[in-house]
Amino acid sequence: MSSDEDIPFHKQPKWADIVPIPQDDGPNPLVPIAYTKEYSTSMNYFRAICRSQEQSERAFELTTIVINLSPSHYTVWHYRQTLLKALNKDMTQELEWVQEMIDEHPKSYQIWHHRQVVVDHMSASAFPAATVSTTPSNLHTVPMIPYLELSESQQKAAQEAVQTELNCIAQALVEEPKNYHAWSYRQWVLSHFGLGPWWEEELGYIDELIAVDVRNNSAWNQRYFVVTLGPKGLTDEVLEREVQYAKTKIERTPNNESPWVYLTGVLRKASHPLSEIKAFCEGLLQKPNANFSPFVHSTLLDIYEQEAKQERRADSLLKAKEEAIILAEKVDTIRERYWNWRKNQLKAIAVEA
Amino acid sequence: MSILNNNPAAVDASAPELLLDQHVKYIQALDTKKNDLEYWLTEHLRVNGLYWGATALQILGHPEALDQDQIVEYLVKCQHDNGGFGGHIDHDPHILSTLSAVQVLITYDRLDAINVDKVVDYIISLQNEDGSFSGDSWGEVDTRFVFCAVMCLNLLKRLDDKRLDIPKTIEYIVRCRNFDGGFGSSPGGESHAAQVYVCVGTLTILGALNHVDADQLGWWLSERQLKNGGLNGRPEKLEDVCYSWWVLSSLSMLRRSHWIDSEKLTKFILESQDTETGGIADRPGNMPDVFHTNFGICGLSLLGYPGLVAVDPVYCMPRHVIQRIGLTDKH
Repeated sequence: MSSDEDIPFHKQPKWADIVPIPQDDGPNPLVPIAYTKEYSTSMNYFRAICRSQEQSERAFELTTIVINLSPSHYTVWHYRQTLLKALNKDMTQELEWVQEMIDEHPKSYQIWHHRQVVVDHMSASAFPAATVSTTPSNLHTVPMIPYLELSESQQKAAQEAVQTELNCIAQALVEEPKNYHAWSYRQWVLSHFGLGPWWEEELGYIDELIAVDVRNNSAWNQRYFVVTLGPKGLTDEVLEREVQYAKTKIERTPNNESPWVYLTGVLRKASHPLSEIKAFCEGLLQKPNANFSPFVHSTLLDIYEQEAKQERRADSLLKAKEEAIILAEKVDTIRERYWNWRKNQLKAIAVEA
Repeated sequence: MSILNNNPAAVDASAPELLLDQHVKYIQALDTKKNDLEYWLTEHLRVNGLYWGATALQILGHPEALDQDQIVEYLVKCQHDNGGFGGHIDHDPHILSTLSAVQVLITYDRLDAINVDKVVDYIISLQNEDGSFSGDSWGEVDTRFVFCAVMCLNLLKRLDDKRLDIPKTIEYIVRCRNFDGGFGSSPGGESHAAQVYVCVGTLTILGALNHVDADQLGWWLSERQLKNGGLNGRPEKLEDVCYSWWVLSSLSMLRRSHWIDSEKLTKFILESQDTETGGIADRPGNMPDVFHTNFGICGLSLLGYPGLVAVDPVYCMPRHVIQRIGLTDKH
């Protein structure tokens, strides 16, 4: 930093030629903007350089100042992106700065998008042109880097780039494990760099998060993302492993929506019938910590209903009805009307006497 | 024809009353809070803020509480040459502020004040090849922007614009549908009640709700209600008044709003009112803001709270306005 660090930026000689433009609120008293002095000064200078679309180092510095004061001001971010490219700025340095901004404002849409823009720009010059994925899992229709076709040194570079991003995101997720922007960006990073080893490694990371908080729905969603959309796809072997994984977590906290939705989700995705987990659910009913869980009963209701429909079994229909009654009257009374509707739906099922 | 709710719902006797006059005053006073740090930090949301304030006042039955001519004059200044509206004067155009501006202008029946063709050009220019929409020319993609685009075009009666690729739009939304029946901000993104609202809203307007498993999604949405009556946006998150809108409007479009406990939800929203300053907070005991005030009041209207003007669950605008422009036939 220069020695004039302590002098307000607008009193430094390099800004002497700029005529600041004050806010035009128009005649409308409904939306007058009242600024603090510092913000107001910065904004007046920003309006001036923005209007002339000045592309200079001082303009770049000013965007840093304004963003620090108002990190959601999307117009300033746009301007900064133009300047980054026009001035051929050091992108690695930019990423370090963005990291600091993320630490301060982890929930800003603009910051995460900016990081994506920078990484996209860097990878475009470092790697061959991204192509649309044609993997069996049909991962994405967005372009991705052909990782498997890269040279060894390029693969290493890609792995390093991915690792830097995943570390940055992980840091934000320590503070807020359900940060939606961070997770969205994480999915973008995994996909953007193609089918590298980070897909498998991601499962280890998710395990860690779920071990810390088994109710972290974002982590469960990421697990589904990796397992069903990753390069390996949802093979029989993977399905069995995931079913076991979810069951273990359910046994520990049966009243936890996330692993239940995950368990039934992977089964449906693989076109396996829910009846595969019938014995597991019935077993849970014998456990004192599980028999009050609405999810045990609702899954059993689904299973018995399906059984009654497909096998025309009167005993299954009766059991389904019992589950609906337990849900409506005992374990999930706030959704009484939903469960009563489910109970009424059962009437339409024809079974053999 | 009455613009009020037709069949006012029963309200729990132990619930606090709606502080209607205080909310009107709270919204009127918003622009005088010049010393609040928050006020200038949210400069980029000024147009959205106007939409929230103006809509809340409409639903409260006090449209006259803001000077409509001044608002129109201000909005006109926020429109750029490319047709889009910025979040405030001197801010870049964005689809979020463009929709808010159009919603307010239609509510006031003042579309004549702006260049509608250019708005349409701007919206269309933001569609990507895969059917998604960017929020602005800088490329951020989110299902919210798809809804903004589709709603905006429909409000302007321009959904038939040949440049809009409707099948791809639907296809993109369907790609954002998850294993739990909900929708995220992008393909693979976690289900989130606000993203569900925008995706279900898009499919409703495009007449494509057949792509939704209404029973599965209806259950996921119902699961958002917690014991205190409030709704959360994702599993294991805290309840928040704004989800009263995102969840309830979605359930309403799916014709399943009766699946949750409306009396408890009404009570939760009313308990989130600030009895001193007016306005509604995200949950009881917190500071109110215009965003939660609007979605709390619109939620109450959807719940059939007596004395409120009926709100439309798709557009989040007064139902009589949507009727006036002839858009009620589709839902």
